[in-house]
This record gives sequence, C-alpha cells and structure tokens, in this order.
Amino acid sequence: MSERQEAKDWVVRVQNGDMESLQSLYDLYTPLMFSVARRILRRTQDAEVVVQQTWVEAYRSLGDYDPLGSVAGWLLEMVRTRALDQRGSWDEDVAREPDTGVDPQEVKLWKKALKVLEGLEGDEREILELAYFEGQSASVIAKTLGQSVESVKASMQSGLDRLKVSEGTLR
Amino acid sequence: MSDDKRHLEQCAALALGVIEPADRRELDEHLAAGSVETSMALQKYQVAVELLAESAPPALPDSGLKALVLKAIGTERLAARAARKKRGRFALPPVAGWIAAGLFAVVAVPGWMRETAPPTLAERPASDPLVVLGAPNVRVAKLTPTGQGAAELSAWAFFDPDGGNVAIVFHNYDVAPGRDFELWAIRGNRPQSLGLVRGDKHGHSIMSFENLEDGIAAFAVSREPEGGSKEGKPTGPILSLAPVAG
Repeated sequence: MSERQEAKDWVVRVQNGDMESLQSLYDLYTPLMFSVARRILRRTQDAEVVVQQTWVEAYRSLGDYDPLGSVAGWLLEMVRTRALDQRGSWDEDVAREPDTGVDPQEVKLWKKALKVLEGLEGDEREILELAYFEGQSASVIAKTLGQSVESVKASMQSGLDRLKVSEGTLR
Repeated sequence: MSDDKRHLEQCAALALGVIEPADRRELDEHLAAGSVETSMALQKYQVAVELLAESAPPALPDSGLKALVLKAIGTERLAARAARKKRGRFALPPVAGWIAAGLFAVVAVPGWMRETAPPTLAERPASDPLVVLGAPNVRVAKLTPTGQGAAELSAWAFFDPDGGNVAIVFHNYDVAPGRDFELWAIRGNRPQSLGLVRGDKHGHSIMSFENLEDGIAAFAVSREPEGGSKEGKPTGPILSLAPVAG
C-alpha cells in the first residue's frame, strides 16, 4: 500500500476513534507542516503554535476531508492558510531564526524539491514562491515584478506544469 | 487567449491558494459544467504544489509539541463524547456528531417549544431522521463531491438497512435559478429518483424515506433543469456520490 493510501486509511481510522492512527498521521506529516509554517512565519515558536492549531482544526473537520484529494494536500492547505493569516498582522521584517533540528527524510525530499525548482524557467520559481509562501495574488506579484498580470498567471501555470512533470520522477 | 488556457491558469492559481474571486467564480462554473480535463488538471496542480511545499527548508518542532497536540485533541474528543452522552442514548459514529446536533436542532427543538411533550421515538414514523439515527445498525455515508460541482456541497446519508429507512442531510445545496438538484438511489445501473433537494436560504435540507427497496449501491445528486429530470435518470452532471457499503 502506498504511503498516500495508508494515510487515507489512517484518516478513516481516526474518524472511528483510533488515536494510534492519529499519532501515525502526526509523525508522518508534522515535519513538512512545520517546515511550511516556519518558512512563512520565520519564527519557530509561532510556527509551533500554528501547527498545533492546525492539528486540532484537522481533527474537528475530519468529516470535511475529501478522499479524492491527498491527506498531505489537505493538511498543507490548512497550515499554510493559518500561517499566512497569522503573519498578516506582522511587521514584514522579521528575521528568520536559525534552523532547528531536521528529519533526514525531510532533508532528502527538500533536496529533491530544490533540484526540481532549479529546472523552472525565467521568473517561474520566484512567482510560485511568492504565491505559495507569501500568499500574493497574480496582481500583487505583477506589481512587485513589473510584469503584466497575464504574464504572471501564465508563469504560475507553466511553472506548475513543469513541477507536475518532474513530480512523477520523485515519488 | 483560449478558454481552455484561461481555465488552466485559474486551476494553477487555485492550487496555489491565490485565485482571485472573479476567476474562482468562473472556474467553479466551468467545473460544475463537468469538464473532466480541467478537473484532472486541478488535481495534478495540487500535487505539484505539494512539491513546492517540500522546498521549504526542513525543520522540526520541539519534541514536546506532539504531546501538546495529542492532549488538545484528547480534550476535544472527551468534550464531544460528553456532549453526545448528554444529548441522549443514541450511539453515533464520531463523524456524525455535528450532523446529529443539527438534526436535533431542526427536528427536536420545535417539539420542545410546544406545551405538550414531544413524541417518543416509538410514536415517530420510521422515516423520522431521529428514528433512523437511533437504529442499531445505522450506516453513515458521505456524499463526496465528484468535482463536477462546487466543492462546498456537503451531505451525509444515514441508512438503516433493516427497515430500508434513510435520512439525508444536505449543506450548501444552493441551486442556481432555472436548475434543481435531484437525489437518486442507484441499484446496479438502475437509478431511482428520490425527489428534488430543496435547500432553505442557507442551502440546508433534510430528506427522509421509509421502506426503500433493497439493493441500493449508492446515493447520488445530479444537477437537472428546473423540475427535475423527465427521463427517469440523471440528465445533468453527478455532483456528489455516496457508495453504500454492503
């Protein structure tokens, strides 16, 4: 059984009250959720609070999980949204804190992901990162980069198309 | 720019979580019309975005966070369990708790507001949602959006296989003018219309049925012209579907 399918089974088991499956989900996805929250918030403690809130929210909304989508995507969307909301009221110049511990498996995924991002063309990488990690819409990015909105939207699509092709070689 | 290209760009923005409201409305309408290619593109972009997430510098939270999370969720769990106990003797699957709360509010509260006592379970008809929920072998199935309609469509079916009694709770079923949602019971390839889903101003609705014929494999909701399908089968896209385990 693939890791993704196994995670879906864990979600069903948690719905039925199996707390061990909840721990399995936590162990599998927390490193990535925390990394994303910390990338957005820059501060370790704030990222921990957001991750904790996200898990409680995920538990409350287990019934909303759409089995057609991936568990990772569902959790990442929640943690990213919370982190961006949290950051909304902040000073933009928060310095990134030094790295904490790392999970070797996450380092592997990270290195592969970086390699794929290196294959993006032109401004695609910057545009995707501004959109995903900074929550900036195409019109905001267009102003920042001095491009047309149409060009930014096209780069979002072409960038994801390229990631999509590369994704198959990673999993 | 072609419509296809524009819809793909909208899928990319949606997957990245930065789609603008006007684009979101247009994309929702396009997906609701049943574009398989666009639905598949959206799913693929969502996977690509996971790869983008993996490019965040890896870091681990404090080891004590796990205990905090489990404790917080444990508290949630106990509170939900206590609330269920307080509500009555019906043992419901955890996912059904909030729906049951909604049903109690919709069905039971008007009874409490009367001066006379509300009817007991034995006095209620077999298709009464509370009776279906209290059935010893009740099954619960989520009507999952197929991607052919808005992702917000939410419905749960409670099915008592012993009596063929069914209660279905709908949320966010707001229908566009000139259209109707139609509920179907599917047996093999044979659909049976169970009527139109008429939501209130919030898109909420409860439908219940008594003594449905055996052999139901799934419940489905399609979008039909106003008044429903005239052909005895869905003529519009299937918006949500719930297989019923045998």
